[in-house]
Amino acid sequence: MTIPSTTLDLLLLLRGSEPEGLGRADQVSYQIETAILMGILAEGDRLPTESALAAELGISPITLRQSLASLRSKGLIETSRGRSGGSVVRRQIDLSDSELRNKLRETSTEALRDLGDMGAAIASMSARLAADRADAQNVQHLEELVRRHREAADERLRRRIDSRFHVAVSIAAQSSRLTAAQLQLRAELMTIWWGQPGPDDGATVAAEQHQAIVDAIRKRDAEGAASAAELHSRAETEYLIAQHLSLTMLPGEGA
Amino acid sequence: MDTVKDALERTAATLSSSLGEVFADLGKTASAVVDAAAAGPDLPPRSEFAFLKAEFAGLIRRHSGLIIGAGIAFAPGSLAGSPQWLEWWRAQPAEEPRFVTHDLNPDSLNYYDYSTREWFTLPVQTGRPIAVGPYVDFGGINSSIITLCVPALTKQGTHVLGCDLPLSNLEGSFLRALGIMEPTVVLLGANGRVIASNSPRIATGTLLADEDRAAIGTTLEVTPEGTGPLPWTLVALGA
Repeated sequence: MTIPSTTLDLLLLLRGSEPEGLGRADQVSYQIETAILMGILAEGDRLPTESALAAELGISPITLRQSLASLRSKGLIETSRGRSGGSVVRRQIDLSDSELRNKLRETSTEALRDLGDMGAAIASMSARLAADRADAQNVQHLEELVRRHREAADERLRRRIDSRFHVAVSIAAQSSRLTAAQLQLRAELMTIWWGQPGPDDGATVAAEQHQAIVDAIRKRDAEGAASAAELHSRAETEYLIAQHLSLTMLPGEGA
Repeated sequence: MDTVKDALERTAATLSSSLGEVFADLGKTASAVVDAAAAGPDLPPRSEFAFLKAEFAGLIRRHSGLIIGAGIAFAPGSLAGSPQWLEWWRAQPAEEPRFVTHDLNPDSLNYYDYSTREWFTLPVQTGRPIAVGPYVDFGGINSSIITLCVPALTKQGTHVLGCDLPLSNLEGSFLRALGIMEPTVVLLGANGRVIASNSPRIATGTLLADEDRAAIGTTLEVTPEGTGPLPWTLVALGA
């Protein structure tokens, strides 16, 4: 099916998260790849027509065609011609365990702490504002994401829903800048290792913390929502740093 | 048997030897600056110190795993034609180090008045090598670093040679030398900030919390050869 405009909005907000020094076509490829990695774009999603998408992204159709060609060559999208033609997302990106592990080993404690500080600032303010501004539909959506996160069958899916949940809190805060910042932060976190696959205590704790954030938002308890979100962010950061420390200290593995 | 004390001593020895080598190298360049200042005119132009470009490039190359930049800050008023002069070089992958421009215009919003920064004032005051930090060098590197500094006492004043050591480069050697997750071990800078730790709860660049400070057990100073003790301390909590 054709992606809804909210999905397109999220895609647009990813602009600015690209590594420096990319050409415009590569920037757009990066945005779309990140959206696929985060599950904003899922398998089977149909991208808008080339002219519509180029206009939304603010690039020329030629530049867009270059981006799409590079995504096609990676097997991420499939394009068909004709009246009902267009590009469809073909597969989900999953970084391999070793790619994720290397990234986490190379990211210093200081960088992780800095990322975590920023994450806590965005999450707590988003939750605080969401408590004042979220409507019934926002809350229902958050509840749904908490449930899907808890029931996720595998770690990869759980990670994607986790990202969606945090972005949804910022959306419920009705703040486009906080949403953009949250998206970009989550995109970065998705490229870092998140521990051994499979359910463990960490997932249960995270699910309870998500529930606490939504409960406070539903009760319009701004203070409670902010502190629940901050607590959750800090726990995430400590978890990541703990993984980084043990990877660094681990003998062998070409460190 | 590997006691906590053994682990601390092993870690201190590793840190001391890597830092000692950098300090020794920096000391040699400082001597060359002292000699050049003595041989030159009373108020030398910058060109008298043009040889430093190659010196710093060599220093950065030899210690590339540890430091990301090096340079010299001249004593204000010590050079002809420049009230202040900061010559700093930053490592670049697979290329010669590049010159880092600092804003030395006192009227500018981004004015980098190095003569008031701790890494300049401390070596000038004490006349001794010192490791300053960790601190976030806004206007300079913009990330958390330690600056290793050596003063060069000349007839024109005290210049300061230094090099920048990012915390992230120190962390790996700290963790691998330590090799234990228990008990919690923290490397503290003179300013009480955490340089590295083996606990996810105690993050680099932060100040040690009061309850952690109260739990300090075994303590060991880190002393590189050839210099006085760094103001660095390894502490084990609760042991």
